[in-house]
Amino acid sequence: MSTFHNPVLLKELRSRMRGARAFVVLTAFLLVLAVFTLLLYAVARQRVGSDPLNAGRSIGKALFLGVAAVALVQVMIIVPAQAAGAIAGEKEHETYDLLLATVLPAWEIVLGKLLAALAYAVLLIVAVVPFMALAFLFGGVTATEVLIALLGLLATALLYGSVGIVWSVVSRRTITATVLTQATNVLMLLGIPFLIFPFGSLFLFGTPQLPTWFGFASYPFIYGTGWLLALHPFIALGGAEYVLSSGDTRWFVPMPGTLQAGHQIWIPTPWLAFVLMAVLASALLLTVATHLVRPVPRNRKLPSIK
Amino acid sequence: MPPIIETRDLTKRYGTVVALDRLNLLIPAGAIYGFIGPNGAGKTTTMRILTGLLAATSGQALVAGHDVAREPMRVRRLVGWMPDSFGVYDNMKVWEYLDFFAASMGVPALRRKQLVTELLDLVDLSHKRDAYVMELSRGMQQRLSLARTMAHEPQLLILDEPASGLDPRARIELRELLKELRVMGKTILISSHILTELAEMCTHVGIIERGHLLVSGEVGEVLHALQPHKLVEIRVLARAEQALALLPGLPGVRAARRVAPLPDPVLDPARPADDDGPATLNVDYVGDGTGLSVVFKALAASGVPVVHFAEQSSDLEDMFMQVTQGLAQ
Ligand SMILES: Nc1ncnc2c1ncn2[C@@H]1O[C@H](COP(=O)(O)OP(=O)(O)O)[C@@H](O)[C@H]1O
Ligand SMILES: [Mg+2]
Repeated sequence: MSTFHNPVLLKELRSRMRGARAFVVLTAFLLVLAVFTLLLYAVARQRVGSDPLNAGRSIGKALFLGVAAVALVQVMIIVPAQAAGAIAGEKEHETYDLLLATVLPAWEIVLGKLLAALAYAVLLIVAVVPFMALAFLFGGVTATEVLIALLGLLATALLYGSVGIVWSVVSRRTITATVLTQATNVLMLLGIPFLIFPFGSLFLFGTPQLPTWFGFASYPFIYGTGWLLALHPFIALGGAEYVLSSGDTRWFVPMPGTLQAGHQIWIPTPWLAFVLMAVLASALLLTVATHLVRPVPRNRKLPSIK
Repeated sequence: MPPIIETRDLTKRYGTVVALDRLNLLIPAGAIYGFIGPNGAGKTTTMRILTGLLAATSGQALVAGHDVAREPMRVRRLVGWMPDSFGVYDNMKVWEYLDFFAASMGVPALRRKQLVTELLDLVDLSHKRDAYVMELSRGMQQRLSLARTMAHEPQLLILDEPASGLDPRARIELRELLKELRVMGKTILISSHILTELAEMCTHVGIIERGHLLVSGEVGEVLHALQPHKLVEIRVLARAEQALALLPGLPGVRAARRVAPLPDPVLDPARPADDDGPATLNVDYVGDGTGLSVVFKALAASGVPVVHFAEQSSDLEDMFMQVTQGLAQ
């Protein structure tokens, strides 16, 4: 109940959806998608020219993958940017203390801000639907794939938005929060793939002999690495698409390498792992953010993140 | 009924800076308490502790008997706070601003609609209901801010330098508004570093400097306590010298002197130095009105032609100067 009566959410929705900014961002988002779709279509057509039988399917697939990837990149940029300004903006406008002097609990402020950023993300994601539908019309893409792609976009928005909220609580200025947020996200995008080496070795060698690290091995380590990999939207959602297009729509699958070993470990399929991890990580980040919501010293004498 | 504000040895340190040093403040319900002190005296610090935004280093702060540190939510419902800065949102209309803060204070939606209308009416901003907050003038923003502090109908208003940065007209409007609030039964704690801003509207004053409360109490009492010395102005038609000789011997008179200097016999030879024309005398007197009438009678009885005998009104400004100077030395 209190989610829908959250004054912060209501306030944010009122003022964000007003003004030219929301409109401009949405228009730019759609333009980028449209341009990419056209380019992809042109390229895909040329390439399938020699195989007219499967042309529709290949074009559909290419369009779907292209639209999904472009939408994902855009959501990863726009949503955290929105979230980063959420609380730092209150400090800049000198309304933060006013907010803290009300009877709103910190979690309600944090949640209101996050939901406002997510509402914006939903707007963007809904705008993606017609493009996906186009790919769907060409064939080669299942409804399940489309739905999971949309869910993946939403989970990405949640995860990246939460990162933005944490930095927004810590920083005094929106610009600082934005830089820190985007830096964190780039670091996650570039850093997590390194984990693919221990995990990938499992894929590659797929043997009962598991690699040993510093004397201890193995399943828990690999398992943990897998969960971390699931935090990477491109790896997790790319993996999901790989699994789904092979026709495997199971929610839980045996961990690679354990099938032959005789003692199977069941793990969630990549998209499910991603959604679970996004929800878990966000819950953790938002809890941290809630605890960090406290009045800022007025004088800028004290050392703090500027 | 407990006092609406009470602090007990309230102390706040920022690192090595002592912002408040064992402050004991007592403000009765219904007062308009002028909290006066120069910049950096600790006014804002005190107010932020009272609203629960800042934790004291030691000591206690109570609002209507509730400990600010222990029952922060309860205290917030009792207090309307206006900081020394005005927080504005982009893209927000005047009515939305009030509606938002009322909602954040837990005022139910049904009540808010009417409340916003009432508040806008009170601060004379009904015609700006749909204007954007950012586009209001400074004075209007200040009044909107005041309306915001009352969004949850608190008993106590804590206003941090509300008059600073306002033009004279806006200042007068603010003063009228505060009088209205007092009639509504609100207790108001209002700070300023400029004494004249508050002089006539307060029932109580406290003067703070460098974290120390120098004096505090009803305006009259404080004036009385601070001003045992009265300045009495006497005008005589003649025989000023005789009066000056007589006065120091009378009870309560500390000093007497002629205000206008004697004409210089060299530069102004037309008038002799012992000219016995009209003169103005100043007398430094300690005592009450009855004693003062004795002084007057003695002068008259000795034949001095007194045409004017009046105690100079001492105002808060003098008092402030006197108190803070004493500390600066
Ligand atoms: N966040 C802070 N960090 C360090 N010192 C501070 C801080 N806030 C206030 N002070 C110091 O505390 C003293 C009181 O400040 P303040 O309460 O703002 O005074 P006033 O409101 O009367 O002008 C000043 O000396 C000020 O420099
Ligand atoms: Mg101040």
